[in-house]
Amino acid sequence: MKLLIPLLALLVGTAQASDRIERGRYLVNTSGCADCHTPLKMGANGPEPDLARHLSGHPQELTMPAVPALPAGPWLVVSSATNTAWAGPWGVSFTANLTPDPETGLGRWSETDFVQTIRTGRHLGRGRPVLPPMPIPAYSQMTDADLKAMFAYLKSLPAIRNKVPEPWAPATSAQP
Amino acid sequence: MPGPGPLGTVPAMHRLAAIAVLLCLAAPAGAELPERLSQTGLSGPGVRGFEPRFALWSDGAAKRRWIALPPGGQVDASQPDAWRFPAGTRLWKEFSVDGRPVETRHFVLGADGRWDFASYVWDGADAVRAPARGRTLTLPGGQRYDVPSTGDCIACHGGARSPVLGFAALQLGPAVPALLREGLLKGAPAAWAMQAPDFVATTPAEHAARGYLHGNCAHCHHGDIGDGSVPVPLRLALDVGQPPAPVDAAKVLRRAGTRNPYQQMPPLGTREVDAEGLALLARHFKLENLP
Repeated sequence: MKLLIPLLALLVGTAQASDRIERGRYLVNTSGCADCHTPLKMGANGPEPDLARHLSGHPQELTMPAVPALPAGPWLVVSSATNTAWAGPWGVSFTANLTPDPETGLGRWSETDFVQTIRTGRHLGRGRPVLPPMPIPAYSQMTDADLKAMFAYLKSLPAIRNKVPEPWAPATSAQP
Repeated sequence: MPGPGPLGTVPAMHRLAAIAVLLCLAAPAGAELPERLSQTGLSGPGVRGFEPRFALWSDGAAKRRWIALPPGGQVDASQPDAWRFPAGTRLWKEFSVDGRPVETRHFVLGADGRWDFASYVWDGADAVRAPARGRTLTLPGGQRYDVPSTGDCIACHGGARSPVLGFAALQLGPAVPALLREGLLKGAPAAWAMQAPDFVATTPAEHAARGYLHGNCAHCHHGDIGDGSVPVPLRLALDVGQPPAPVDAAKVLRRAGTRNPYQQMPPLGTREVDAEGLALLARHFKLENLP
């Protein structure tokens, strides 16, 4: 009996953690996170997600040239063929590495860091602004429970080492 | 020459306390603060001014600060670098540009342990509460001035070792013994009655430079992962009685010396580089090529 209660508690805890990760997987997959955070590569049928780089953000070896000048007219945004680099009035943003790599991804982030980032639209909840096209206005409406589930799923992914560049400021439109 | 204080740090307790504070600050707002600054009690009894030794750079704005403890209230200083305040504590910080008050920030600790923040924009003889999303003002000289959103308030105060950044052992320094004798502190090291708390610095230049970094950076860069600090290997907070942690000064100056909005440090609350502050750091760290 003495062993049974801790064992049951462990099983319940494991089941709850597993449910949470599954909920997170569902939310990440249905919220379009991979659309921008998994780079596209050219396949036989056109651009397709590079699953070897699942959710690891803009590839570090893909150095972007200066942003092309847009023609006159209502054009506003340019994106890379990988769908991971975006240029607009805010400068150039690169999608983040969401895998749990400790040096280049979310490995050192706490759950609070993640929730506060999405909630406030600031990196780590207190740093630079999270830039377009990240749909912060929509995701910031998610519940704490959903955001924590997404973080639990992201932390369960294989870590991919990929150092995403820092964003470029609008005035320069070139690498800082 | 600043001398060592009596106590070291209590990192594990800091960590738990910082997480608890962050959770309280991140919770939905509690009671509404008044619509006008004149209704907040700033001119009432029990309000005292104070001045931290190492001020946060605010683009040259002049600042005045006040605190009011509830009647009979004491600040718990048993964690020397993370003071805890009694429910009902109120603080104000006024920002003036070119001799004219622009904004006064106010925060209050509720009975439920939650801090409420508001900012008041001056308009004639009184100041009116700004929207929670913040606003940008254009001052008479054409200078743009950012009134912080509630989220911005939490960004700086929420993850700190104590949400009250300026009323703290190292910031008040020589003023601490008088506070202790007055009975406003409890749990403080007895030595503080005679010897002001300080950190260990070997020269006045080091004291000034590391104090500057403490005042401008420590609210985020204060510790290890999971204690409310940002998860980067950089510790700029100082501890009572301890020497400063080693720092890659060139890297710090590079971030402090840019106003690229995605790289600047601090990341909010400033649009202009603090040239004097940078020069102070460069002199101490012997860095000639300023960013």
